[in-house]
Amino acid sequence: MSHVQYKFPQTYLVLLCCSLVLINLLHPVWSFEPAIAWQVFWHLQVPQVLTALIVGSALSASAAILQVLLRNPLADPGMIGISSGASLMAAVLLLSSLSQWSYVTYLLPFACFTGALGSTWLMFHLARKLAFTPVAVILAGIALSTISSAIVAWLYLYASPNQLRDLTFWLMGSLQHTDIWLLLVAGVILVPCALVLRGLLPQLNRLYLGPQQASLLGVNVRQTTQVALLVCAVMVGLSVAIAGAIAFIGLLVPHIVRQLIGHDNRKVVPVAALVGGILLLCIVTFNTFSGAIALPVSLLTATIGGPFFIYILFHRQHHLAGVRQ
Amino acid sequence: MLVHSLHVTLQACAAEPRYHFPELTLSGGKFIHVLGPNGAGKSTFLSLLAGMLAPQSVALCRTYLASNDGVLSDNRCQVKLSEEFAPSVTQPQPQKNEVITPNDTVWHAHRGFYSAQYEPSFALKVADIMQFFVLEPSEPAVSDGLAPEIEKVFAIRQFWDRPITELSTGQQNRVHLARVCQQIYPALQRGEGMLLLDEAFTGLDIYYQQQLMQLLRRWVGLGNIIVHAHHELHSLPKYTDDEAIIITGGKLVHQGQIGVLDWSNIHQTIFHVDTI
Repeated sequence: MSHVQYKFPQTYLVLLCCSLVLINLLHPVWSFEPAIAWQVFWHLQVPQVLTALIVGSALSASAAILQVLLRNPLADPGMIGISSGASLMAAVLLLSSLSQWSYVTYLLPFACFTGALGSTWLMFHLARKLAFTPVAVILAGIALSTISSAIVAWLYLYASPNQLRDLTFWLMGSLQHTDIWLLLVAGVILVPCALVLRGLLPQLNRLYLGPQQASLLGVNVRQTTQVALLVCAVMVGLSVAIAGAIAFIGLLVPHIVRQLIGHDNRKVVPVAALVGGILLLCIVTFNTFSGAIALPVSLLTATIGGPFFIYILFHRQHHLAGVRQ
Repeated sequence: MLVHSLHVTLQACAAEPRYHFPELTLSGGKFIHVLGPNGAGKSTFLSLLAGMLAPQSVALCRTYLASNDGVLSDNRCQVKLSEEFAPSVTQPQPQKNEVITPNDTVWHAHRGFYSAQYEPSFALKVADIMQFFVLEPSEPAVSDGLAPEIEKVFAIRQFWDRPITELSTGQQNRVHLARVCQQIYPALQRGEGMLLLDEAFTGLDIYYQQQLMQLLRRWVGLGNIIVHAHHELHSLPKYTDDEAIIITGGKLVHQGQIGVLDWSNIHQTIFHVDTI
């Protein structure tokens, strides 16, 4: 088959990513005394860079996959309730008596994973009851997000001032609230997820026109959907666990990537993962070199993502109007 | 001489219990028109044939018949929608049967199903669609993209780099028809394909309707089975050698050669008109 050719310098993305990683890792070398530089390098820069790469890649790749599975280019782990479910479970854990436990950091990923999986399952079944149209998916996700947010708001009433501060910063997303060991565990979990997803990407291409067309070509739609949703829930749960709720990355990145390199998921998902990592690395770089306090990630991503979302809505409206004429 | 036949047994389907189709045989090398009022069950009938609703009870059987000197030379292609079918076709020599079910990967290379109900959520380019939704090319004739024969009929290369959402309904239908034909093109070339079409001419210009009909006739001549569900009763007098299946209320009520069926009765009892 002759393929669509998209001229996009993917090699430059890899070079850009490597450059950002080096800049951030080497920053302490020329900014601090050698003894302090090592501490900053090992306890601050390395975890931040790894968090940015893991979270950015996981959120962007899972969003790219969810958009195909749910047949909605606007699907985002935050918008369809997956992040909200993870955040809810994290909030429950942080505001419970377990928050005093020294190993709560390691319990958080499991809580977030449970929340992400539960909300994914609920959203999926709600959407199916509503005929599984793209609109139904978004509506089901909004309903779940609203319920999760409402429960978190109720939990605020019972939080102590310290818990309240921790929760607020955590819900706005941060790349600095983790350590190298947790990141290693996350990396170990994400590697098999990536391998499983790699095997699913050709089938995901055949899901673009819906489940019936995919099954006419021999795709086991039920199995593919279940496995992909499970892996996405794991990746989103892990991301929320180590960096809190980060908005709009999942909406922004796959959309841009599809505009640049087309719709072949065998390319879209890996490139989206790379671009997601680069985007969060840019935020790390901004925080590193601005000298100001570390800004919450969602503050920056939502500032960019909100206007971009409006642009997408108008672009789609214009596009659909053109089709109807 | 290659002899193909499509043997279909349709039973009450668990997924669609209100539909009851009796056992019937569809001959290879025949154009079969599936007719009936709105909601009669035409699309369900096609879905059953496609193995979409009861895949465990569908089988495509290719039978090699022994010639006088005992050499297996001819073959016969059969499809049966019944679990009981498989034992019945495993008969001793001189016949040798190959049974293909929807669980076999090759099934999807023999059966194509077009339904004009696509709601693209993504602005996929036509080239993307042809790349993603056509099985891997298995013959040199199609290794370089769209088969020339299919391109000649549907003329979709002019849209190759355009998003499908920017095309008109008729143009989109041409792309999807080309995609489904290309999916089983190698099998169609060998006369081993079953093409199921649900209102394939809807939205097409008269030129493309004629081109498509000529292509389908050529494939029928090669021994393929073309099953087309539609509402174009007025066109039937041109095709008196074809077969017709009349469905109403989820039941198959008439089947036979178009030139032989009592159309006056069918028009009155099924379609509630005196004449077409």
